[in-house]
Amino acid sequence: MADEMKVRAKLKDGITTVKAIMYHPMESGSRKDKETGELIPAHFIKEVKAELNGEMIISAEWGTGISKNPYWSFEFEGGKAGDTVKISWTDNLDESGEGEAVIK
Amino acid sequence: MNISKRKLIQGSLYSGVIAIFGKITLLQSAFAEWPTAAFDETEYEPALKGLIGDETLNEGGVTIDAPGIAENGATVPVKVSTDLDNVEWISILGDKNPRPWISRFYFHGKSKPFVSTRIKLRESSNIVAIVKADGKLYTSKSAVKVTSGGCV
Repeated sequence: MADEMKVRAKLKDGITTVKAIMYHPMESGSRKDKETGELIPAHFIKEVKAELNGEMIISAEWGTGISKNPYWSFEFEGGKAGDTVKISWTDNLDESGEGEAVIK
Repeated sequence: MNISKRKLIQGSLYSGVIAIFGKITLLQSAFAEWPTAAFDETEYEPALKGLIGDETLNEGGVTIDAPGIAENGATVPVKVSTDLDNVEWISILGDKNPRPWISRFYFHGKSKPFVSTRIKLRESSNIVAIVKADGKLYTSKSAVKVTSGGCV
């Protein structure tokens, strides 16, 4: 799926900065539908990981307090221009998504 | 097949199996502790306890960069960093949120102990960051005045 995520990875002074936006509703399960008045079921990303050329750099556990369409930025050393950074997530409904960027 | 050869094959099989199990354990350990106990709590103190148990929290050592006033509680930018060495994880909580525990980031390899993300805050409250470094826990907090609460 092409529209799940936008990822950018930029190398400067030996440090790679990654910025990502994941398209996900991050529903907490406690919000009501304005028209029907019924609770909207929880739907949120639980686990995220970032890899550099297949090696884990950061893994994360998220709850419903992360904003809709999550933004995540992180930094690491040891990346080179042309290396691939991959981010992947799994949500509470066992759906998953991923995106990647080549370091510039 | 003579015995020494069989032993050699057995040995290599075993080490292969150990290597595979080692790999599985390693992969699982990245997420094995998704903190259900902390996540399920609707009050701050029990959520904190669900995350860190009875371990001691040391004040300071953690830098939180967040706005003093947030117009929209649904999306509050927050950056957490630390100068501490050997950082295992950084966790973020909102002390007045309906589910106070928000996230935890584990650092592997050459990652920097830094997180930038956007969180929901139901009302004016403290963003609390906890860092585990060298087996010890450190914490700081940052007060945010929320003009319009986030749908959390």
